[in-house]
Amino acid sequence: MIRYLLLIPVLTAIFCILARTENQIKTLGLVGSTATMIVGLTIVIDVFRHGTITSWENMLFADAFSAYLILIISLVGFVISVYSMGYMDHEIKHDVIDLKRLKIYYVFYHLGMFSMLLVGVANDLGLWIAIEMTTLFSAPLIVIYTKRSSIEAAWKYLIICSVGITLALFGTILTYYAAVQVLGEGADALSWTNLIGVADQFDPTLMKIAFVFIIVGYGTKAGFTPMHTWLPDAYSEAPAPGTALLSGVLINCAMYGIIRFHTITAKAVGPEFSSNLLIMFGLLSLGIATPFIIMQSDYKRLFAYSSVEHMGIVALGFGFGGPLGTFGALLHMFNHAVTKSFMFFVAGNIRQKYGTKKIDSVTGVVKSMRYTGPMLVLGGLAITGSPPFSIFISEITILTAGLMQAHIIPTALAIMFMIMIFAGFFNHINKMALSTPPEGVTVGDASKWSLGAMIILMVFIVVLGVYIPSQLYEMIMKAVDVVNATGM
Amino acid sequence: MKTQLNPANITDTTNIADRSGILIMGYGLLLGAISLTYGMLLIVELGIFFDSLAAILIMGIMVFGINRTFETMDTNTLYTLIG
Repeated sequence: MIRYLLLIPVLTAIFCILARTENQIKTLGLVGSTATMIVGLTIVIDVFRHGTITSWENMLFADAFSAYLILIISLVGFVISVYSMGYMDHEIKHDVIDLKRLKIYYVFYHLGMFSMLLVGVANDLGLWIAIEMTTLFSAPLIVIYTKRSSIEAAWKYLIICSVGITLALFGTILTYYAAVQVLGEGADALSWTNLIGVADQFDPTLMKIAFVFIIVGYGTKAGFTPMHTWLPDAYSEAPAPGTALLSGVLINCAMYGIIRFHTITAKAVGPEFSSNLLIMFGLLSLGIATPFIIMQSDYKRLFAYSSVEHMGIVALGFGFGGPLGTFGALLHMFNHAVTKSFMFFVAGNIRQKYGTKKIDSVTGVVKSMRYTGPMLVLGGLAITGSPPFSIFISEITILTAGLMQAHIIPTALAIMFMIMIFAGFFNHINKMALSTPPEGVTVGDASKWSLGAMIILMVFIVVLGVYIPSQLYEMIMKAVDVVNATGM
Repeated sequence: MKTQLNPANITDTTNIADRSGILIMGYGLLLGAISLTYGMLLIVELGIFFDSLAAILIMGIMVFGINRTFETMDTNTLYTLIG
């Protein structure tokens, strides 16, 4: 089953290359991502019912944590492809991009999906290859609009992330070295399950160095400050659905890599070391994102810095640890993926309408766009963590875990930063949503495909804020067991 | 559009430094890995080499893009996105 999950995006990409017309490419893209989602959900249910599954001589495997990542990737990926139908249609009609660019977008979108799914199912060292592949396949998504600024953003993204991931390779090699001393040479030293089983015999000093390299390396990809500098550039220059893929799915994959090594390190050297590093990077990300959000003049960059903030919160959750903190962090990964993609869809609609990314030039969205306007306000409330939306639930869980684990100062600082971000963020949202639209902006909304995709996400945002289905709850609890290495 | 490489630009480009830096880091680490652990699994090593190769290729394509748009290959000109 895992093989089909990886095969479908690659096949879709190949068919997209062969397709001739615009409609063929778009239909193929939608069909491909629907098939990916169906196979992905089948694997998730399979893992949920029968436990870990492996394939291809143990090179590929899926346990509860990877199944949870696959759930996020395939679900959000599907919604993004629905949104792409409307968004790309508009761009083609207004001659912003041509057929060749559309083809590049769809091919690399599906290759990106392939590499991200590979992150979920790769076993140990293969993880590094998969994460490097996500960088390479998502870089062309940033240069869909061939402008000076987007080329600059893509170059920065490639260089910074390649260097970061090279550092992560060193961490991976050190982990492998530590494992070889215990397990001996050979393929056995590669699988997560074997590594966790013997992690308490690893050389602690070696594992400490390895984890520092891992958190700096994959942290570059996950958007931790001070390695986040590529992130706002790439997010503001990519087309809206591409940005949704980068922010909703890609940074979760990097987070997944960090947490896999966090589990091993916590077992080898005790939980304090890696948890403290995660809390430190989490607080740093929150703290540095705050002034950039308050002073921001570009709304896509505003949402990008909000991604830095939320990755910081996820890192805090994993750092606080325990069943509650890990549960909150995992739930926050899902909620952030859904809500942030939603926000970038809103941003895409507004950019197509107003033709600018400056906050000052956008006014009266509620009046000019009947559906996107209210969604901007609701999404703004949701992303800053107001009740009754889903992010509120996961944030309050993480903060409760922090207080329960007696991390008083980090929790207090996190609350302070969140309040400042809420105020700064809503100042911008107010300016954009209210008052009258500028002259020359006609009344009318985005296409039905775009709005449909946004409504699907809105359902998740609202429903998960008041009620978590028992299946999802049990799924996350199993992933918590994997992350905390309990019950194995 | 016709693209021409200006030889004067090649000598002072920083993109060569960027790319060779990444290559040296990656392959240096691999050599370190081989001396530490007597080599990793073959498929993993192949994957790492393939990724490095693909990274350099994609960066090469990007340099063409930079040259076409900015009419220089000097990556020091890329400084507009800030804040």
